Amino acid sequence: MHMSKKALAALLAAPLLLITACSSSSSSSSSSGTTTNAASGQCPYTFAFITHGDNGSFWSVVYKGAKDGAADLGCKLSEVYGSQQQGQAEPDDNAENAQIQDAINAHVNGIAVSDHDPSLMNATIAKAVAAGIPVVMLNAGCDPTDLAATKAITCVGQPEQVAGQQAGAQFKSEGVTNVLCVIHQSGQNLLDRCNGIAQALGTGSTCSTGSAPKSGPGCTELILSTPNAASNPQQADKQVVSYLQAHPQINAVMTLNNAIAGALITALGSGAKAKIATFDLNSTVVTDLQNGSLDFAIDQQQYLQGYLPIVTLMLYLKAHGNSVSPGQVLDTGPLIVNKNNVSTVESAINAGQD
Amino acid sequence: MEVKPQDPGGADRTAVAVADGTGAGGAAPARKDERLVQVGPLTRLMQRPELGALMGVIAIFLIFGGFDATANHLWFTQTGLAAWTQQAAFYGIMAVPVGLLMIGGEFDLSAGVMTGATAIVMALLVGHLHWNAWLAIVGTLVFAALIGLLNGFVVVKSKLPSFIVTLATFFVLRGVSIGGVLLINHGSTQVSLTGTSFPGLASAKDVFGSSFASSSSLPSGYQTEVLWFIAVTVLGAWVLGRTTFGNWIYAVGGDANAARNTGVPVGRTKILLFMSTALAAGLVGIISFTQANSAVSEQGVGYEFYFIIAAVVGGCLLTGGYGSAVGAALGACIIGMAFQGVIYAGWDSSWDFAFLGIVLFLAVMVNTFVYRRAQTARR
Repeated sequence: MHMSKKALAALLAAPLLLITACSSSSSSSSSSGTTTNAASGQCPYTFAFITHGDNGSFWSVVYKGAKDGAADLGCKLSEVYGSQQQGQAEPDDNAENAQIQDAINAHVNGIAVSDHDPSLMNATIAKAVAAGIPVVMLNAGCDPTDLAATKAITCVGQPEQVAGQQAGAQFKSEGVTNVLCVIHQSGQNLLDRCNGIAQALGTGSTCSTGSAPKSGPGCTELILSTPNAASNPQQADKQVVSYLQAHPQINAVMTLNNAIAGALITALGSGAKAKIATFDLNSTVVTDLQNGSLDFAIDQQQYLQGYLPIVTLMLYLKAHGNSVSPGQVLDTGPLIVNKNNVSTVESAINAGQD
Repeated sequence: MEVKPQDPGGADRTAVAVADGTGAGGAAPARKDERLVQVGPLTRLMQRPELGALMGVIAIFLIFGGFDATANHLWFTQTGLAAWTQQAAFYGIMAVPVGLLMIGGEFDLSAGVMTGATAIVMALLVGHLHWNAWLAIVGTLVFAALIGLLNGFVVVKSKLPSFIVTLATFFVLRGVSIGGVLLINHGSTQVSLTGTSFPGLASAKDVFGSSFASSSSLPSGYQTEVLWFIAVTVLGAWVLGRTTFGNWIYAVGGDANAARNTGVPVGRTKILLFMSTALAAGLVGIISFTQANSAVSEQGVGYEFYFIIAAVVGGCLLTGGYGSAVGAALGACIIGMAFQGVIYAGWDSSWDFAFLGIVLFLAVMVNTFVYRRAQTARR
């Protein structure tokens, strides 16, 4: 057992090292090409990769992680699904649920899935497990109750309340405690982030809605109502700007999507009075962190949320049920990135890996 | 000569009729020719298709003024005006040509994604190919016009409903805006400018993506987008009300066959309407790119519905043949006010969509009420 754990660690680390080793070369396709040849035959499995994601800058990195993982190990991905790609402005939980069922019917060897709506999907995921298909969850549903209910192997992701709590603690340490939490689409995972902020500020277990308190500490949610806010941040941020005009006492804004943060910084210009922080990184976030217009960003290293489920599923099948973090969350975040440590994540972002 | 004064205006009308020499003299003293009935200026005003929408705008403006919960009543200040006009301008630049297209009896479901696709084209031309910004603007408008031409040509030639044809365009453009950008842009869906030197961009930004009339009470000023909104509205109203082409629009939307029989070039009219919608989308794309210096895949998706809503709230009929450009612009103002007003009102934002629904319904109720009163007043 001791030996197998070591071997397991080596197996886990090998592709990661390869990636790190190759990230300095400009072409990522050549790196995955060589590793595919080296590794082909090691992984005779087909996996379904099903999420509630769209094709935005966040999820495209997750998909890249999944595709790189499959290519490096020689596994097949039956298809990379995101329920939000199919014409909706919001994740389509029924469609995602149907995709899980399709994967069961297709007898794939393993399923990686984001448990975006546990009340709907837990039963379907449990069905997959009962049918003998190992499931690894990613990004959403990363909490022990859902893992217990579904009997999924593990969940690769960022516990959202913990991430919110860290953000709240960061605000508190900077002395800004009247926080506006901007919600761009529905989903329990986003509400959990805001609730975490409220918990860290000590204003209760949930972030409140409605008007912000006259003075901090306070956490107030603003649910954007302009259409398709994440891909139309300019329109959405007009509402945020108006909210800040109406509530000048707000001294910190937390956006849950980096495009919303970027457009908010542009919209407020030099007139920004509140500190702005965001979840998730991209190249604009890096620039904004460097020039100080963005206070900090929460990195959940979503490339790993694509890559690790593939590795975990393969090992589970290959190594007779071995897995890391069984029944518990395998954390990829939160990592607080600010001016001081932004240089360490910059190259990963430029390589499309963060 | 004896006329029973049937209504207070009766005496006047008779006088006119008599002076005309044709009217209610002689054998049938009480009968009047209804074509000769003079209507008062108030009734005539009420019969304008945009009046209902104007009443809706005033009603919504006052309602949000009443509910304004901000400390210094921002709604009635320049800050409030700037907030909702910039929101309205985005919808309005599209709602006017979309309204004209609806009067002409057609829909364009690709209008939303086109505002984003053109922004991406502009971003790629400036950021990746390093074109002069003004040349990129021309390129973007040509791209838009070609999409509009394609939409119009396929609708006219295939005789398929425009709902289907432009739905296909919508999905194709959406797919290309994701896949194409990911391909060109090294896996990122946001096209932003890196570096500093982009020839012509500063002057293009002044014209399209800047602000004006900033003052001590309103440091950020009003968006230049608002001026474009006004310009598009004036142009739309002029085309619809004062030109032959405007008459053709009503004719093809009212009854295409009858229009064709009277010599109206139905196909050409519809193609031009699709092209003007696409060009307006190009303008919005240029404006949003110059405002943000970036464009995102799938930008604009979902907005096609709101452009149609603005036109309908402003009194354009879904069935075609009736409506006005100013009405569509006013409809856009109502949407702009709704999105900003709910924020100032300080209502719980998780209920926003419910408020939006009620506000839009109220606006249409006021519009319809005024319209029906006007119809009755005619008789």
